[in-house]
Amino acid sequence: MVFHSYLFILLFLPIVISGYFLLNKICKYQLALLFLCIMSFLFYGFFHPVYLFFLWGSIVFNYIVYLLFQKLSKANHLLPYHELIRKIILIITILINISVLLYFKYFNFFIDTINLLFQTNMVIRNILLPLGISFITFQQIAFIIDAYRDEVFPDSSHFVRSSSTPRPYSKFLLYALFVSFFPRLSAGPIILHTEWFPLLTEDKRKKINWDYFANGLYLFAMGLGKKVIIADTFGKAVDWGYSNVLQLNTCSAVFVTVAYSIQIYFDFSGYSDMATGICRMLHLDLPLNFNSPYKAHTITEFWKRWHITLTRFLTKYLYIPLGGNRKGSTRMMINTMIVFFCSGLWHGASFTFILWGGLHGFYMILTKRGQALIDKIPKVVNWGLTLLFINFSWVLFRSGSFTVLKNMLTAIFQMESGGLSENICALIQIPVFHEILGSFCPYWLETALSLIIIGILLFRCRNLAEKAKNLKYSVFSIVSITLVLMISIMSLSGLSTFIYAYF
Amino acid sequence: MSGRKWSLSILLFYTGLLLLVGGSVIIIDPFFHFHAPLEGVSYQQGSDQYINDGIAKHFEYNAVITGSSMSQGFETSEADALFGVKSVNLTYLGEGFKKTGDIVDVAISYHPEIKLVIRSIDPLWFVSDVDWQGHEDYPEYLYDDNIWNDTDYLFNREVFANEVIPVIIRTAQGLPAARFDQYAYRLSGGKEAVLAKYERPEKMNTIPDEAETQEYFNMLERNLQGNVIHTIKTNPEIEFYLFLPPYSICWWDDLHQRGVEIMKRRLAMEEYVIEKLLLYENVRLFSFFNHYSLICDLNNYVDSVHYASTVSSDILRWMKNGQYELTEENYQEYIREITTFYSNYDYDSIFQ
Repeated sequence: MVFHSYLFILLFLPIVISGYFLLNKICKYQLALLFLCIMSFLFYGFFHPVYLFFLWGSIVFNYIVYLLFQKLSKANHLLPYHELIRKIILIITILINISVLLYFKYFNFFIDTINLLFQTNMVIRNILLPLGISFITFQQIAFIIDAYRDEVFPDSSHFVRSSSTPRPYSKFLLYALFVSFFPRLSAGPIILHTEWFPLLTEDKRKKINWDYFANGLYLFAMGLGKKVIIADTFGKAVDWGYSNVLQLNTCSAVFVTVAYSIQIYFDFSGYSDMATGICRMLHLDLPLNFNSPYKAHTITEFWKRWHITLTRFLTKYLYIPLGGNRKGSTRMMINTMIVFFCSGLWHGASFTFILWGGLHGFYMILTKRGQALIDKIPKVVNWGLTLLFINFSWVLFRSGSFTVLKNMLTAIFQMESGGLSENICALIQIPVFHEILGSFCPYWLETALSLIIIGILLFRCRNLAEKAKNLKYSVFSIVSITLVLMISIMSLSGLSTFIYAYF
Repeated sequence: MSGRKWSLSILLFYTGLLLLVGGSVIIIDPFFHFHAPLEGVSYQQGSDQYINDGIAKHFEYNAVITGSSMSQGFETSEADALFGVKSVNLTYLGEGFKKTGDIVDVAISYHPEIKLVIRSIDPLWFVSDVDWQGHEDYPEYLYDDNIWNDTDYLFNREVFANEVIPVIIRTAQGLPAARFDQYAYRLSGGKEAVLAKYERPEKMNTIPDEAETQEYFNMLERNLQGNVIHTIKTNPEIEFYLFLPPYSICWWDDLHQRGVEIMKRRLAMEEYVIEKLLLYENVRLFSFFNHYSLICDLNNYVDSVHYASTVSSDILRWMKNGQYELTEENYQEYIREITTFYSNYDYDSIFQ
């Protein structure tokens, strides 16, 4: 199941919201959380019920390890080598979690690499990749590390007793919901248990808060619009471009890279906005994950604005444990490269992803080392250079293979003259915008206007998180949000154009 | 205004709009997914991939015209007048035997009173996998019985904007409704137009590989049995008027250029198909490949295979009159005759 589907919007989400608040209203607080958990499992297992075995197994295994750490903490004076045992358990647990992730996500990449290097013919397997496995794994690794440090449920302040319920909340239920909660299951953000558990147990969050709900509705509607109206539209041009890369002239190739920069931002941030919106409607909060990243003046700033929770996770659980920048500049550079290579690999099982991560790491190091020089350069120039770098580094991200990468780079730098391909222009048809302009505007003009509007949204307007803080309850906003919601929902399905090849 | 009022206003407004849009799609139903066309509503000609299933299920008829684009030029009014039936056009552009066979099965399941099926049996699709379809993106939500995915139809922006609204406007303007057989877009062509589109291959003398030929015949057998003969066998009370569309002399030239043996293999396949189909009493089989004045005159065509609309009318009339019918008694002579003709024809004269 996905957020941008009729089933989710028209049936699943209304049931979740109504069911959750109804159960809380009759003071069945644990049942309400159990309800959320069950609905999350339903969401997760909708297309492939076999996914659930992975999810349940992962939750149970990691929770047992947490309990083990708890017992070991209490028995520390009884056990010799107590600390060593805890460390071994931690390492084994992290290795098991990583191994599971490696198997599902990287086994075939590993086989392909062996085949390439040693000219073997090992057969790749048809492995069903569990949804959100990277997010689930990282989240649980963070939890286990904190459990090792005795930072999980350390005292009653981490889960507040409801005044109406004598018993504390089931920790297992809280943990299961922490891992499986559907709004952030497939695409994040990566949340920490310290942020999550208090939200689930706070009394005041059991009742619907209409300002939160309004905020959530706004974010969900606009996030859906970002994904369906903008990202999916530009995505068609990107797909065509990468499938026909050998036909592209320089102008078209550059446009395809720009289109992908637009697609990936609106798609990913739109999804995050929808996730945040769903949580707000449930009177819960998620951390901010995108903060106008294309307005960044340096690559350092970009990574503080793009996928913020991933940066936070990698900083806290990888960069700092490696030593961060506390062990000299050489070690800082090595640590930075390790973090970015891991980030690249986390995004996808291909050398182009690793290269993308490495390129960002390298540029990050250059920026840190050259900060004094960068400060002297006008901000607009810094911004332009950063945007240029990000735009072209996305080519590595999207290519998926070195062959496609080579072809796309050739298309960009071949300096072949010619305008933007008609095929690409014909695909940039933003819903309603196209219906209004399409009848009298040539394709290229419609594309140009679409780009201008997107540019204004990206560089001159406040992002949704900022706008949501200042949401005005007016007739105008009612009409505009409803229209965005309607256009988005009605754009979930279209009519196929059947290409008449011969018959 | 409070957050509560704002939120509830949006939810109410959006629910109302959804009901309005969904309701209008259900009522107008441009693809006839829920019901037959309403009296007085000026429907427009839709795409066959979208309307055929609805027509098959909800229209009133007792005869079906189906096949590929080779049957799309047939007008139901002409077929009705000639055969004394009430027919519908359920043809599919760019499709082989599977899709056209499936729609006949659907039609029969919803209308057991069907007494006539007119269907093209295209030699171009002889050798196809039994499950092969020309297009992948069929709107399955229209073809299946799953009501839950009807949301793809009810809340579809393009359906609403391009199908429902125009129908409402046409009705308000008092325009007549479409006949749903207006696929006859190939009104004109001619020799020059045909030759401009035809790319003559280099002359080769390819000798067909035996194993490949056997594989082709195996595929043909599966395709024919699964997608054509199965329906004929299970419906002995229905009369099947099957015809081999008369491709132009350019099509034969293409075969001939690839090699005489390749052409003979194609003819052997045709003979095989004829033999298989003539086993059934409820089949009337026709071929016009021996109508040489038709085939050799490119002014009857718009490209190397598609004939002009006037030829479609002629085909219907010939079938009704029993002209060019193949029987157990005459098919072998027919094969011999067309083999001789097409093996020895002066193909270079086409380009003079």
